[in-house]
This record gives sequence, structure tokens and C-alpha cells, in this order.
Amino acid sequence: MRVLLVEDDELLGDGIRTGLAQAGFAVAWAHDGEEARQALAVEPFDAVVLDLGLPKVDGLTVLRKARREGNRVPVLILTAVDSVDDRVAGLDAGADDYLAKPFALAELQARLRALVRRSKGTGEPQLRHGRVVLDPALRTVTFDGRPVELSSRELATLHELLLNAGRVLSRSQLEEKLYGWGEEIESNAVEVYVHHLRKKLYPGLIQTVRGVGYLIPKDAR
Amino acid sequence: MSHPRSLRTRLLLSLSAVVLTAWVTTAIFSYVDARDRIGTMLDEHLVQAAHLLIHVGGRSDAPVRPPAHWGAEHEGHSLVYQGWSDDGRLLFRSANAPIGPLSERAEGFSIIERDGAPFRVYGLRSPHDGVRVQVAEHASFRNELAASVARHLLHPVVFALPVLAALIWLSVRWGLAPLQSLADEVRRREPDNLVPLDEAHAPAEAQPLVVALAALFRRVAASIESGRRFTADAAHELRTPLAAIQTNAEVALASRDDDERQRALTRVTEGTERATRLVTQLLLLARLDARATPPPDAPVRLTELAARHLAEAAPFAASKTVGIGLSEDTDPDALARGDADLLGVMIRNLVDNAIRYTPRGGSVDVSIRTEGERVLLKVSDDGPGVPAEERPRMLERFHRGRGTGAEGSGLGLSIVARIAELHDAELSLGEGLRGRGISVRIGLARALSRR
Repeated sequence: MRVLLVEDDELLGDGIRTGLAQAGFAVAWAHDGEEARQALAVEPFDAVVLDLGLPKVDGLTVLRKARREGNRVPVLILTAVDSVDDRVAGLDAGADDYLAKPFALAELQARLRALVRRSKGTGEPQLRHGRVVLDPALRTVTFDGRPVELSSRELATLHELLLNAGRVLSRSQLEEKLYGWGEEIESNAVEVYVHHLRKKLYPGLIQTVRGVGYLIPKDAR
Repeated sequence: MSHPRSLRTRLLLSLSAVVLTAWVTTAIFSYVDARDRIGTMLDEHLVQAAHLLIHVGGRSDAPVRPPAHWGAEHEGHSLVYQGWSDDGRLLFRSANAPIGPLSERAEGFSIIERDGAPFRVYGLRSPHDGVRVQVAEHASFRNELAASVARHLLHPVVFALPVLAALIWLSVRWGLAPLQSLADEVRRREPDNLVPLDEAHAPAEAQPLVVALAALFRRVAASIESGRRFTADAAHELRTPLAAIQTNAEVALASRDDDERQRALTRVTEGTERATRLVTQLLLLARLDARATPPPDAPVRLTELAARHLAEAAPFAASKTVGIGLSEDTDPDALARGDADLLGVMIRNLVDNAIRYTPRGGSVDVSIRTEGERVLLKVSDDGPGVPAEERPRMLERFHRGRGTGAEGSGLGLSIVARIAELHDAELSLGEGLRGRGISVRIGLARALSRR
């Protein structure tokens, strides 16, 4: 899942970026409101973590503008100001959730997962496809109830395909979801992950649509 | 003697005293007046009695003698009389009269003393046959009468005074009621209600008080508001470094990669240093805010002080490869007036700030010059600078230079501004070195050389 982190504080931003990466999120980090606006205008994100006190353009302005332009990305506001009025103003400006500093990293991760889940229209925290079950919170995959050892990127690839079950994802779309800004993308990496997933789970799980991308069909159930 | 502080008591006491004095004075005048009038009246009575005695009993051949009971006590009023013939024989006398003449003075009024009591005597001589008559009565009688008149006049006072006092008390209360309601309004107030008192309902005499109170309320409200804002801002400012510490600590705990963990732990210590610095600056500013008295007025060798702080800042500057130093035009003997400790804090914050916001390879210059009655301290850098229109905001609390990647507390210049204010020194912001960066200038009062 690809998350836009908008945070001007170097120390906190670095911590959040690393922490979200640990939970399998691909993080793009914008350091000010202007950078955030540009990123939102040109790239798709699964969620946005938005600090309000930003240089150049403040967080609420960025949020309002994105909503006006029809961007429906789930937004979690992260701020030091946590009076009721501020929370109401943030939610009314179009935010989906609100977290006051300081916060537990695990809570930020869980809230982001919940936001993404809701935005994809599924309330169930676990993703299932036949005999395969993926738990985004625990970051585990089971096959017929037995745990399967997956690398972080393999798990992220499976997660994306399951979230978008029934839709074809192109290689570049998958790369975008898997890599944050500044991370080096190895060529053929996606093919390698898909190959591993088919081997560790079962070959028919992921279908290739030649020249277009990969697909996990909608669950037959 | 201490005067009572209560207006009501003062009015009550003074009004009662005035009324009592007026009444007593009236009674004294009435007594004196009554005594005079009674004296005149009784004298006339004596004269009449003498004429009657001469007329009735004056003639030696008269068949009637004055009745002896004339001299008898009658309602405490006894008349004593004697009648003498021309040749000195005692013709008649009252029962209580002596054999010898009553008064040596044969005619007219006189006062004699008999049996230890004063008597008023009147003597009359008949022009026809030379018969002389003397009539006397107790002089104390007239004093008693006058005293009785005065007593009657004073009697009502005894009963009326408490009533009058009560009436005065009520009047005073009524008169002071607006003041009392004003006091009640102030007393009933919640401590945080600083809305000015209603001027329209206050009596004219209390207007200056109400106006002064309103001004005081405004000052207190402003000071409470700025304190409240500062506390709120301070709490919010601390949240970001705390969040950074917590997040990085959690990252370190969850990390399976040694490098990542190391990096996160470094971030934790950096965050802690930042929070510590912020708290130190906050405490310093809070202490400076609370300080109302001007700092000690001692001569301070400013250049020595600056050199010391530059030496202390040198490691930090070196870590950022920022060159620091005193400018060539610095006056080595500049003597400013103020508090050496506070001025040191000011210089340290100015130099620290300048190093923090100057990119690698830049330089920070401290210049100290004596100009007339002023010692000018100037700290300049050749960093990115601040547009003129944004410069006033630099002095605001928690305002941080953005987009510089610097991690300041946002309080350094506020502390400098407060110390300048305590020293009554002008602070101005201008262009920095070689047409770039920014400079902060402080004009301190010059101390007279001790030499």
C-alpha cells in the first residue's frame, strides 16, 4: 500500500517513514504543503498521513484543495493541536481520521489499515481468497490454516492483488504500491515476487494477463 | 488615634457628634436664657411684694399687719420680710425673719448669706413716712427653676438620640447603597470574570475607581491570556519531539535490521536533546517573563562576554563548518550597562540561532561598537536571510525559520527580545553579511568607564 506522509519535522518524519515501511507500507514523504499538493495531483495513494502545521501551505488547505479536486484518498490528520474545535475543523475539511501527537506507531499503522480497508469497501480485516488468508495487521499469510513464510515485498504484492481482486494491476502500478520515494526499484522485481508467491502458495493463485499485468480473480465464494 | 476605615462608621460617628453638640449647645443657651428671665421675673415679684408691704403694713396706724404665714414655705418658695419705721423700730417681720436687718443695704437689690445659703434681698423706703421694707428669698430657688427648665429641654434628647442615631444610620446606609452594590458586584465575581464593571450604575464619586478597575481588569486579562496562550503553545510544541521520540523508539523495538535500529535509536537521542532544549528555553523564558524588576545596573565588558560565548559555541559551529568570530571593527573595551548573566544568555541565543540557520560553509559575525551613549551589539550571518515583511514574525514565540531544516525551539529570539526589553534596549532586524543573511542589532545603554 502506498502512503503519502506529509510531515515537516525531520526526526518525526523519519521515524514514521521507517515505522510504516516496517508495517509494509510504501511511503512517499513530502516535507511541506506545496510538495504534498504536487504529489497528490499526480500520483495515486492509498492513504495520506497529514501534519497540519506545515511550511508554505498548511495541511488543512492541502486537504480542502484535494477534496475540491475530487480526490477521495483516505486522509489521517496528525497534529500537535488536539482541541475538539481543531479535530472538528480537520474532519470537516475532509479528513477521515485524526491522531494527536504523541501517538503509538502501532495505532497509526492500525488506523491506516482500517482506513484503506474501508476505502476499498471491505470491513473485514483479513483478506481471503479460497484457502489463502492474509492478515494485514499481523502481516501473516496462511494456506489451509498453515502459516506461510513470505518476505515483506512478497506479502505486499499479495496484499495489493487481494485488495484489488478481480482487477488487473500493471507491473508499474504494483511497483508504485511497493516502493516509497527514493527507494531503488530492481528490474523484474515484481515478476520475481509473483514467481515466489506462486511457488510458496499455489501456481493458479495469480494469473498473468500478458502485456497488461497480474490478477487474482474475485473469490468464487 | 486611628480613624475608622469604614465610611459608614465615619459618617455615623460624625453626624451623631454634630447633632449631640447642637442639642447640648441649645440646652446650655436655653438654661442661661431661662435663668435670666426667671431672675428678672422673680426680682419683679420681690419689688411688688415690697410695694405691697409698704402699702399695707407701712403705716404705724395701719390696722392690718401682714400675715405671718407670708413667710411660710410655699412650694419651696419662701419669702422673708421685715418692716422698719423711720426711726429704726422693727414694725413687723415674717416668722422666719431675724430681728436684725436683713441687708446692710437699705434700698435696692443685694445678695446676702444666711445659714450658709444665698438670699436675694430687695429694700424699699416709703417716700411718705420713711417706713422701710426688706424682702428676701432663697437665691438657689431661681437656679433650681432654670435647671428644671433646662432639664425639660434635655429630656427629649435622651429618648430622641437613639431614634436619631437609627435614622442617621439608615440615611447613611441609603446614601452608601450604590457603593455597597458596587462592592457586592466585585465580591460576587468569579476570578476569571474580567468584564469591566457597569459604569452607569456606579455613583459619580466612584467613577474614577470604576475606570481604574476597568483598566486593571484589561491588563490582568491580557496577562492571563498571554500566559494561557504560552502554556498551550508550549504543550503543543513539546508534542512533536515527544512523538518523534516515541515513533523512533517503536521503530527501533520492531526493527530486525541493525542499521535501521541504530539509526532509529540515534533519532531517539536527537529527539530527547531537542525536547530538553525546548524545555530549558521554556523555563528560561517563563523566568524572564515573571521578572518585572529591571536587571542589575552594573558595567558589563560586552566584548569579553561575547568572546567567551563564541568560544563555547565554536564546537557546534565547527560541526556545521560555519565560521564564527568577532568583526574587525569591534571595540575591545565596550562597556554596557546591565546584567552580565542575562546579556550572556542573549549573546548565546543570538550566536546559536545564527549558526543554526546558516548553511554549511557560511559565517557568523559578532560586532560590538560604542556609538555615543549606546553600545551596539550586532550578530550577522550570510545564511538564506528572511524577507523584510517576515522579519517582525521572527520575534514571535515558537516561530521557526521554515524550509531550512534547522531544528530550533523557536524561542531563541523571543528570549533575546525579552532580555532586550528588560534592559530597555532597542532591537532591530536588518540585512546580514555582504548583502545576504540577516542581522540582529541590540542598542544597549553605555556604562561610564570606571577608570
